[in-house]
Amino acid sequence: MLRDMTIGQYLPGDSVIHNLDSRTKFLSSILFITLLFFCKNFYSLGICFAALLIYILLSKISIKYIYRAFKPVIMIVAITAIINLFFTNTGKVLFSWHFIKITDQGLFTALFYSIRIILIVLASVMLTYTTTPTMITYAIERLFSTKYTYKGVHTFAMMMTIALRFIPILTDEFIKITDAQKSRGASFDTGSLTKRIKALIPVLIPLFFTSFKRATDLAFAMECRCYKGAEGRTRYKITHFSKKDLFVFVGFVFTAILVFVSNKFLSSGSLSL
Amino acid sequence: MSVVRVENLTYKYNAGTLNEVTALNNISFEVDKGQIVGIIGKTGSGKSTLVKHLNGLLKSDSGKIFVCEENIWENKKALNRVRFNVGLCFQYPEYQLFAETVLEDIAFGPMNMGKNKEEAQQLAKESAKLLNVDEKLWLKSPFELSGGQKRRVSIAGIIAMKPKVFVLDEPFSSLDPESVEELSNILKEYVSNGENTVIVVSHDMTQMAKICDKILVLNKGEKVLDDVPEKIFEDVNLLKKYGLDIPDITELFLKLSQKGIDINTKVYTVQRAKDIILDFIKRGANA
Repeated sequence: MLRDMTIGQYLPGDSVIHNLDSRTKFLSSILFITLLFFCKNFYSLGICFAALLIYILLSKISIKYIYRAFKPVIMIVAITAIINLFFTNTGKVLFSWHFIKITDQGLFTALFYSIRIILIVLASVMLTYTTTPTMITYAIERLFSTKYTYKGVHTFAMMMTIALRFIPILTDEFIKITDAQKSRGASFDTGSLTKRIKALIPVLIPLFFTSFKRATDLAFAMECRCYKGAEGRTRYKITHFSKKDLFVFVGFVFTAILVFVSNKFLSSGSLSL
Repeated sequence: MSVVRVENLTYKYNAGTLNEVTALNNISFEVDKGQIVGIIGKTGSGKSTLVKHLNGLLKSDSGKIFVCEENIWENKKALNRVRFNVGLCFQYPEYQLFAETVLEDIAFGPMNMGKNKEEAQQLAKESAKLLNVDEKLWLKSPFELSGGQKRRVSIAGIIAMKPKVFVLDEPFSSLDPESVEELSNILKEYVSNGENTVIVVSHDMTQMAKICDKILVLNKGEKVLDDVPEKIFEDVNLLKKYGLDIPDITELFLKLSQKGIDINTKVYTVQRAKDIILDFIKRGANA
């Protein structure tokens, strides 16, 4: 289970999207998600969907991975849809049985929210699929660094990079220690809940211990290479905005205009949010 | 009589996906009771995957494993019993230490076997003595110990379960030479009663030549050689092809022979080297 986590995963590739400046990808994802909250009807949502589809196609990421990213949020989408469907009382009644009443307004809201959540998830997943964690933190660092904030921003970005880098290491470590304790007869999948939680102690203690050790080792290794924080630190790879990035922003502005136009001039009848 | 029998074992990582890797390909072998069997092969040859099968941590796609004539996957509920019969000690076992005291940690296995506290303590003490863990350390926290001592304590943690088959993955790595010798002797002692069996994975050819009764050579997930050490180390070029070394002492004798000294190069242990050199000197004196 731990091994097929897709959220936060990076899929190496060589598409136009992969080669965009990470700042562009980071900014456009945030702007796009914000734009989703401005959509008022299915037309504007459709426009956003079309824009995202073009983005996905350009990234050449296989549909299998898009589906995999979507799997973990199915439950959230379903719950949101059901709540909206049954607890909206306004609008024309389409179906009623005892206390259950489904209205056209409820149906509209349920569908609308579901699609919006899916689009939000897809947009954020597309960022991590096409950008390495290091490049994402780099983008954050570049975007938020000013003369006054650069120290704090750098520290934060460095912490994030290290934390992300440690996830696969700790996962590996966890599996190794679990195997070792299983070999000594520990069992993790039998007994009551309290018993199972207690069974984790022989795994968690060594895991914590090695994490602290790794952290100390890393700190020493960084100091040995003269790491002193943001001050005077240069970069090996510096990215620059190019024409491709400009296209993305132009594309975004174009989508935004279309969304606002359709919000204003196209309406879904009497239904609204 | 064979205590472990592996039949046509095949294992693939990420089976059915694009990243499918065949880690083990149709491996069969037998291990006799009372022997020390070595498994050698370069990194990625499937050694660690193989040992994880022996106590049922991994389940193969095809093939069978018998421990004491019992198919380990026949009864899934009995898997823990298999794990007590086949004690598996991982590479860098010191990462498994967790308890408050050294003795408590060693007793973790026996406690899981269902022994009561006294029995478990008793087994832990015996095991600690066997591994030469100083009595002064018994009530200390395992995290306060030095690297070598931690290794001993964690190995003691497996031996305390008195496994019929004791499997060790790279037990000699990052140990000082003295501790390596000591551990070798402990393994020999463990099988000396004729009831126990040891399977050891290692890159230390000198130790392997010294302690093993039989050696398996893995290459790219396949078993390519399976013989007594004398035969295994005979074909130096073949071993080099599989990315493996020969014992230091053999290397030395090969170099001597290349220099034109007429000497028997089939030397795998220091003891045998001594005999041959003495013999050589005697011959020289007679000539």
